[in-house]
Amino acid sequence: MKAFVKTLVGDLRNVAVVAGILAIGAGLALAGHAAAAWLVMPVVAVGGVAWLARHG
Amino acid sequence: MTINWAIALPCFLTALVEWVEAFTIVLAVSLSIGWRSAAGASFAALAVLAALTAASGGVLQLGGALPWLQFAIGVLLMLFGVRWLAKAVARGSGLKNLHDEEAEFAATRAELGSADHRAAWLIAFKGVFLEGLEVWLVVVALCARQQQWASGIAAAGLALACTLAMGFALKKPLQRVPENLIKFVVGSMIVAFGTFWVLEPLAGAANPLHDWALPLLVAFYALSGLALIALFRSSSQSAQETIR
Repeated sequence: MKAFVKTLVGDLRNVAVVAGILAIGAGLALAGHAAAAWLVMPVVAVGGVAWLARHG
Repeated sequence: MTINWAIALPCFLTALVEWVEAFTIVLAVSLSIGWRSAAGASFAALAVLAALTAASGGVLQLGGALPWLQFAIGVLLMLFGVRWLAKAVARGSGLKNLHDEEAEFAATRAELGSADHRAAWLIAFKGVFLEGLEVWLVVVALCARQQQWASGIAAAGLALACTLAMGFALKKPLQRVPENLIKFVVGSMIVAFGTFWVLEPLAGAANPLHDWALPLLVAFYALSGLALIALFRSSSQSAQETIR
């Protein structure tokens, strides 16, 4: 079961990074800065990828 | 049948990488329990995956237009794509070793060790099922929105046929597939799809990129990935020079 879940969502670090990306993107969209979400979320996602690449 | 290449290409590339990894496991198991048993385990896993695809496809066909479902699929794609892109960047910049099918083959042979027939069968089943699960995720996630199941399923099936053809011709772990390059390209595409699907139900009306959103996102993630690889490589080289 653990292998099944890990295959789908990755490890805890991956889940935490994606949760952070989504929190910022969705947070901006829901706070009324919808256009900014489209520009900020990809940049934050690249930051998350960079962190995972170094610490994954 | 019209092929949707935006769906078929990432499905084919993802499936190719995963089926190659599955083949390595099945090849190792076949040396312990024979080809017939190893193939039986593989077909059993593929049958479960086919049933999973049919079931999830049916469910998504009913609710594919629901914004919350689009968001959920976007989240799954982000979870998948971010880790693939991160791994590809780490391997491309030398922070991690490239994936080695020969080493994986040796590790599986070692794991099999004195495993009995049932244990070896389960290793083959689990290997094919878990690798195939990533194929299932990408096929379902990319096909659900536009209901273009034929393109995704045909692409995954073609990748399986190519892997089997190469594998049976060579009869050894498949080393020549440029796995890291494929993971980099597919990772960029999947993160782009995930970003789009997460934001569209929440902020679709305010999309400043309009119809160019998806291709621009793919280009952005790919170029950023290349920049990260160059950055990590140069900082690693600087660190080595400092030590000297």
